[in-house]
Formats: sequence, C-alpha cells, structure tokens
Amino acid sequence: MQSTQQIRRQIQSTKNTSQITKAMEMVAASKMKKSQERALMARPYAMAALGILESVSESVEPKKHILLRKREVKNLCLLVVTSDKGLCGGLNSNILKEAKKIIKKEKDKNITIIAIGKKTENYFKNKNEVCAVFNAIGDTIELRETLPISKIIIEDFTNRKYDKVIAIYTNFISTIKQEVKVKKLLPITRRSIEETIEEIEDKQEKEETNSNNIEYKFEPSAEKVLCDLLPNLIETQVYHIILESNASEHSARMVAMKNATDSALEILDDLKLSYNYIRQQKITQEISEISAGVAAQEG
Amino acid sequence: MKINLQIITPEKVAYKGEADQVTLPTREGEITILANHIPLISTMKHGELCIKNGNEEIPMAVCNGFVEVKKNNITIMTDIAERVHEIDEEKAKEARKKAEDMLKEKDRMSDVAFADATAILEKSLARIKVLKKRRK
Repeated sequence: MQSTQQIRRQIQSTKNTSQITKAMEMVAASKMKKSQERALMARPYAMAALGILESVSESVEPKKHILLRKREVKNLCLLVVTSDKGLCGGLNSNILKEAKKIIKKEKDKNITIIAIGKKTENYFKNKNEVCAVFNAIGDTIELRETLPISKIIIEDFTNRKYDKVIAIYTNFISTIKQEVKVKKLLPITRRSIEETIEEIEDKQEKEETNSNNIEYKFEPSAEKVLCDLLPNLIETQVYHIILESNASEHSARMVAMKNATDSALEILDDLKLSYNYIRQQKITQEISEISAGVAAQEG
Repeated sequence: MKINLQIITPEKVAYKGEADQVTLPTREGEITILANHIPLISTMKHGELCIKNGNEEIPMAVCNGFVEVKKNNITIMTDIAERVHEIDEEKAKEARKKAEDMLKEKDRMSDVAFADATAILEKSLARIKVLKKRRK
C-alpha cells in the first residue's frame, strides 16, 4: 500500500499539471477566437476572387495562360501545412498521415515538399526532398507574409519544376470539428474552382452566382486581367489555407487542453479518495492500538 | 435605381450595401459606375475610391485589385479599403518615406523586397492622397 506522503506528492503534481493545462486552454481559447474570426472574414474575398475568375474563364480560352494549362504530371509538389507547436490533439498527425498516403500513391512521381510549420519540417527532413520551409507563421498573419510561399509555387510551376501543386491542410469547420483537406492549387481548372466555391458556400449563406451568358467588357483586355488575376488568386488561396489551418490549430489545442484538464481533475478526485481512505485506516488503527493499550493497563 | 456594392479586402468586408454611384481608379484611368452599367471586369490601381449614396459621400483609400460589374451588382476586391477616419496620417507619411528610402537601393534588393516596398509605397500614397483631398 502507498503511504500518505506518496499520494500527497501525486496529488500536488496532478494539481500543477491541471493548472498548466487550464492556462494553456485559456490561451488557446482567446487565440482561437481571433483566428476563427480572421478565417471567416477572409472567406468573402477568396469567394469574390473565384467568382471573377469564373467569369473570366468563360470568355477566355483556358489554354492561354500557363497557370491554367494541364500537363502530364511527372513532378508533384505537396504543400503540407501543420503547426509549429504540438499539444493539439491529432491535428498534425492526421495531416502527416494524409501526406504519407499521397506520397505512397504517387511514388512513381518526383515529389517535392514545401513545409509550412515545424512539425512538417521535422517529419520530412530526412525522408523527402524539401524545397522550402516556412516556420513561425504568427497568429496574426497578413497576406503580405504569405506572398513568398505563393511566389515559390507560381515561379516553379511556370518554370516546369513541377507540374501539379497540391495543398494538404486542416479545414476549419467548427471548434470541435476540423478536417484534413487535400486541395489542388495548380494548375487551376474549372472543376477545382467550382469545388472550392461549393466548399466555401457550404459554410456560408448561398449567394446568387448566376453569371451565365453575360458578355463582359474587359479593361484593358481579358488576357491582361487574367495575368493579374491568376497570381492574385493563388496568393489569396494560400493565405486562406494558412488562416484555416491557424484557426483549426487553436481550436484543436483548446479542445485537447480542455480534455487534459478534465482528466487531471478526475485523477485528482481518485487520488483524494484513496488518500482519505488510507488516512482513515491509519486513524482507526491508532485508536484501536490506544484503546487496546488502555484496556491492557486497566486489566 | 441603385447599385449593390460590395468592397472586399483580404481582411474583411469593408462595405456592403446600396449606392448611387461609385468612382474608382482603374489601370486605364478613373471611372464612375452608375446603375445599369454594362458588365465589366477591370483591374484597379492605388488611389481614391468614392461612394455616393444619396447625400452621403464616402471616400476610401484603395490599393490594387479588381472590379466586377454584373447587372447592378458591383464587387470590388482590393488589398486595402480604408475610410478617412481609419487612416493614420503620421503612419502613412512614415511608411512612404521608409518605402522611398528602400526603393533608392533597388539595385541591391531581392524581387520580393522590391515588390514589398512598392506595395507599401503605393498604399501609403493612396492613403495620403485621400487625406489631403478630404481634409481641405
């Protein structure tokens, strides 16, 4: 049987742990609120960009721009987005699992990784070719800060370093639900645009997007607009992906920490019970010893 | 007849509602869009955007982006969209000076840094322009 001292020590350390996880939960909760807001605020912009692209692509032959052109896939680029820090439940391991699955499926192709977040970097460091690493992306990220990422993607795609770019990230649905999302970034096709629109629309009130059969006038010209719009669209999407991942990370962490606090409190209850049990037993024993002693003297 | 106007930046929806007309700087020059405009897609540069709704006039500083006119729905996507009271004059002037200094050494700059500095410069110019015009 454990001594009371031992149990007391255990109680103290469990208490400390629960205090730490509680504090982390609070921090994550406040960060979560901010990042969720930002992710939601950014959705209309992504939506509008896609809407304009849709209108443009009706009037322009898609083969005209290199970012729209499909080609045989020999070199594949994966943009894997995880967090820098752990302690956020299964978030990162789910992403890495999905990435592993894709790599296995496409193993006849040349795969390059763009790692966003330390967890991805550490995981792929010695396994695959990592062409770029972006760490320490803050919670208050601005579009400007994601530009280097989109620049690399666009340039390398244009230079035929890879023929297809896929992003693996966590899509934020609600505080308790986030899902791993695999999204094709490049080349941009009608189908991928429509899919993305549907996806965002699912979460928002549906707006009318009846753009059929409208003849647009383009200024200066459709090609010029397209040349400006496509890189902008990729930039917006990368930004959007990172915001969604950020919101997911903080939500997942908050939930994980809440669970940790809850189980710490449960363990604390159990420990207290066994502590009192032992203490009671000791007292009973002492009393019976004393009364036995008294009885012996009287007798 | 009014138009439905939506101004969206990556951070937020800056304006959503009805308007009589909107004036904005496109790459080809300044245009004003009234109701029943033909469908149009155009690119914008930095400068001043002005919404007129009844007697109300809302000027905004905008920087780069796109405008789509569809029936009487206008969607404007831009990097920034700030109303006069949201603009910090000191900060804008400081940013302009910093960006100009940076651009002086453009030979030694990387592409990214150059694009960054240009973007900052354009934004601060748009802000200062709107402030100057509206403070008079």
